[in-house]
Amino acid sequence: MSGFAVRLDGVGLRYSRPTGRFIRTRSIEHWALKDVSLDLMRGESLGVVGGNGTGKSTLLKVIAGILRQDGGRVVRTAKRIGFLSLQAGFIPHLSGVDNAVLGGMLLGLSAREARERVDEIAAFSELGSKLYDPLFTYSAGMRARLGLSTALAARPDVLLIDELLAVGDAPFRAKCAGTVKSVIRSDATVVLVSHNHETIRELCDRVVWLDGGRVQMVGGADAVLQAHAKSVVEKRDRVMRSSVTGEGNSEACGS
Amino acid sequence: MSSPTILEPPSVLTRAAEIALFRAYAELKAEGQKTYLSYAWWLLEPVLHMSIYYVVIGKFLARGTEDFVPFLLVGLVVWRWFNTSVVSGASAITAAKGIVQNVGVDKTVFPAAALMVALFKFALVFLILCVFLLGYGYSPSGWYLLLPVLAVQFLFQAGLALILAGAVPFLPDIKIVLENAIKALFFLSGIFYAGSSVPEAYQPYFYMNPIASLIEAHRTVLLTGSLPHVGRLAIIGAFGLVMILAGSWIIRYKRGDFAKVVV
Repeated sequence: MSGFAVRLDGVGLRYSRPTGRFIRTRSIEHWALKDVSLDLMRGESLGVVGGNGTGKSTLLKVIAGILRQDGGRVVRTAKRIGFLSLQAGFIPHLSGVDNAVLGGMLLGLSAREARERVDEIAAFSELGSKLYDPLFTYSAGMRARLGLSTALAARPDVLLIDELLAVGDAPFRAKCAGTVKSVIRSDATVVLVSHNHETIRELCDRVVWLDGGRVQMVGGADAVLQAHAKSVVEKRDRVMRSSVTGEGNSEACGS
Repeated sequence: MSSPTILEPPSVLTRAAEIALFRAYAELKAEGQKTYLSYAWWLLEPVLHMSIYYVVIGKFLARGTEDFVPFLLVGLVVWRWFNTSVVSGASAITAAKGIVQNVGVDKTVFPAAALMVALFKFALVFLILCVFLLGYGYSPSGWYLLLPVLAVQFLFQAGLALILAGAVPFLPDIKIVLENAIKALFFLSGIFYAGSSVPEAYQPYFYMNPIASLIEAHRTVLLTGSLPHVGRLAIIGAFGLVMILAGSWIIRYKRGDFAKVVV
């Protein structure tokens, strides 16, 4: 179980959008990640913290291979890397079963493997015969349950979680939190993005703090969370002070 | 990151083919769930489409000769296959934005699925067209020659669809050009007139259009049972293969950039 699942080495990621008054031939560039070096070790749970727009979601997408880095190197030894929330690819007029099979295949299962796990998905999601109805008849909570159950049943080598520990109604949420937590605590490899320090402290061994697309700090959960919390408090105080004195601080308010 | 290759390990290709196939099945199934007449639309819509042209061109413009109905139907059925394959293929990756944003899947599966959906719908209508032609009194003895014609057309439009699917997300302007090019091609491809009726001086230009050549090849086989122009078919087929390779390469080369532009 030793070794890394994903290694980022000086990774940069650039977004650019065209601009110009009449014919848009120039482009505005923005580096969402700058020189990020990071090893995601096999079996570990890595937390990611940082303010809005600091590159957390972009980091997950680079790890998953959804985005390709524009600088540096990414090495993956893990084969199947997937997000825990899987609803985006769902087709509304298709039954829950078909959507679950398609979802499983998108997470790297073969068609047969995906079909074999339908029972497991039915059991965990508690959707029962509803699973055979078209997806557009599902409530938002039921849809989320299906997405979550599908992703869990697909058991990817690396599970990416972007702030998702509250899905469905209270009983299902409790069960979900329990299952997700036990998956995270098991020897699965997990990357968890969250604004909730308590959640991260409870579930993650190591934490990365991103700021402006750069790794501000990486290390043991307690040390990084403490440093991050301190900077958040300082930033908030600065904003409050400037708003009291009447000086706008648009940078700190922007998200 | 390693440079993309066309030769991926077989398991990767099988996985992608499976996803494309399932997506095609899912799209077809979902389509039937959206309307009251459901799957009947796969036949009703082409029939509606073809009746309009029959009435306008065959009756109002009185262009119809004796065998105008089979002549027009072959042209329209073949054209529809080309049209749906290319148009749905071109927007396939853009339309799958939910998946593109959330899963690192091979993007070739989206145009591939669109091509399969178009092929399936075409096959239905084409079979009915063949039955109609039999009833009309045409002999099927030379129809085995259809296989290469169909294969060449598939290669050609698959190549075009793959290239467009890979390019449209990065250059959305292409979509507007495509819409107008399709409108122009409809009039330029000899759907409701024969290539032989084009003034001789323009014929070389007329046959430079692969769709015009393909429609004529279908007519030659279906309506006269004789051999179509082999040289033209060979060139179109080879061109199609090159475009398929180029299109797959573009999509693989840009695979990590689609999520930046498909939003």
